[in-house]
Amino acid sequence: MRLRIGIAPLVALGLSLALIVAGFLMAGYEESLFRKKAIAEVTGQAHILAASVTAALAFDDAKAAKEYVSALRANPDIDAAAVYVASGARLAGFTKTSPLPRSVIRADSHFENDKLVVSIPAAQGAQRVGYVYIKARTESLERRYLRYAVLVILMTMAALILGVLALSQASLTRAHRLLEAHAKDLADTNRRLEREMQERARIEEALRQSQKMEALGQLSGGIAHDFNNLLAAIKGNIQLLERRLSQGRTDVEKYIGGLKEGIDRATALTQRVLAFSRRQPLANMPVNLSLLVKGMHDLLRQSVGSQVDIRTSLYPDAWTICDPNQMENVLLNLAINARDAMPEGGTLIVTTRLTRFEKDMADVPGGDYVVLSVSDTGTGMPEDVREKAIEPFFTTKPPGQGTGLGLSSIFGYVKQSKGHLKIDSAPGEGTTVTILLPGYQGRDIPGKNEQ
Amino acid sequence: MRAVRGVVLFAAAAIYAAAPALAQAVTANAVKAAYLTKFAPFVEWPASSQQPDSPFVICIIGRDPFGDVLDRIAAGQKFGTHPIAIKRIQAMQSDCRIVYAGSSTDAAKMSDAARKEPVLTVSDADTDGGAHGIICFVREKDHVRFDIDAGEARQHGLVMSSKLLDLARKIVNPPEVAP
Repeated sequence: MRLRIGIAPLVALGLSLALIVAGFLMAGYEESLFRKKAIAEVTGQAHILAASVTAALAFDDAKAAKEYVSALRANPDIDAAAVYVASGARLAGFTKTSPLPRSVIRADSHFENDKLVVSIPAAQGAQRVGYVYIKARTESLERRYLRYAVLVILMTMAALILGVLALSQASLTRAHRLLEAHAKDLADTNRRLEREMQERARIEEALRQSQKMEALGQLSGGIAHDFNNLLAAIKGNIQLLERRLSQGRTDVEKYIGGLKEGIDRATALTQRVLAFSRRQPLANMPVNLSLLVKGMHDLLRQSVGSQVDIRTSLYPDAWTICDPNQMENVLLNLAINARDAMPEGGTLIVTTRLTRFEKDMADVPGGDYVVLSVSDTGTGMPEDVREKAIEPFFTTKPPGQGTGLGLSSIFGYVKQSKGHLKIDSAPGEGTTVTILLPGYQGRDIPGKNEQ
Repeated sequence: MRAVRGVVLFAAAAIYAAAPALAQAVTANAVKAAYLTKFAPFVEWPASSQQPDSPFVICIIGRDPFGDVLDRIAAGQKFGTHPIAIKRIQAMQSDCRIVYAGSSTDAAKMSDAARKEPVLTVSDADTDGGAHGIICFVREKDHVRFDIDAGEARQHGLVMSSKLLDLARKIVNPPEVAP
């Protein structure tokens, strides 16, 4: 990787330099081509003149020679032309600018600034009879050099573009590497996050269990009282049964029925407590919240105590997808919170209903929802407490009575079930906890939470 | 003494008066001599007319007006690979390529002997009054020029270069123009 980045600009630099050098070489080549061509052209003219003027040269006929030479005067590119006899003396000629050389005795071609001077021998057969001299205009030096400069500039620009491209390529490669590194970091972070989430889920599972146990602890007072009542009723029935039996009476069905009922109720209570305390994994299924609330009625009754009046308003088909055991735990926790908020007694209102959001709300996507709300007529919470209510380990209960994890774990569970939780409260006006869970349409599937 | 002085004066005057004419004649002869050595390249010679490795011979038949001027001009000159040689003859010789006849009698001899031979005959209207050769020197004002008889050249199997025809004062029997 490092090697590739290092070579690209070097190659580009080399190519650019090569291009510029090539530009200069091409300019030089153009110039040499131009000179060759110009010399060839003027030499051709000179040869034509030489071929026609040989006799005039041989016989020193200045008049005839003058006619031949003057024919070139019409050519605007020819500045001067003359013919010289073999001895070098000028026979005839004309010039438009600088004077003609006095004598010409050798072949030659050279540039004088913008002019090209060519002199060639004139011969008839093998016989040299004199020389022809022509001075011709060429494209001016400035214009030629301007042309070459344009060529070199074009080459240089091409080189620059190449260089810029190479540099941007290099920086792109660098950016790409940076991006790759970022992506790798991101993947690492994501893996770490997933591990943490697994860990968190495990901890939450443990927390839920401990919450349940705490709720059970809270329950146990009421349950013990209830159980004592049941035991007292059973004991009473047994005493009455004993008395009737000792009297030899056989109309004891009433007492046996009372016994059975007491035992059944005790058994049901025991089973419910056992079922509640059992460690069970999350198992989502279609649940009718209204049936669930109905089934919880006795347990709620036990946990809030006689000072609290329980009222329910339940929509018959409040189907959603959730874990019913967990949902019972939620309801129980909310009921205990409500009881604690009403030390002087009050009313606990549990309602279920359906609602529908046509559009996405600020934090709730649109769609059908089942709403479960638990309200109390208790002390309520001030704004700052309400805001912290779902934070873990936040509690207003005296030490030893609350973990500060109740609402927090409820919030976590609701989110896990793709639901939403809202707390409305004000001091002296009670508290309403509203839970929204996605409505479940497949109501024809028989619910499993019948009991 | 007076008589002597008068004679001297007369002589001087005579010489003074004669000098330009004399000088002109001398110059004209030199020009003609030079021309004689220069005609060769402007003539198409038949391939068989020249032996290899032999000189290109210019002959003066009969009276010689040039003296050593012609020899000096011809010295060292070549036609192609052939050095130019000068011969003075009284009758036509077969190795002559160019023959100059200075008088009408010589010209007649030349014409008779060289008929049909590839020989460039040169006569001199300046001195013999009538043209008899292919080329005939003439005087025009102060210049030596020449007439060319193209018909005569054809008779001798020679073709005169158009460049040379261009320089001629007059062309007799000009070459036929192709239709």
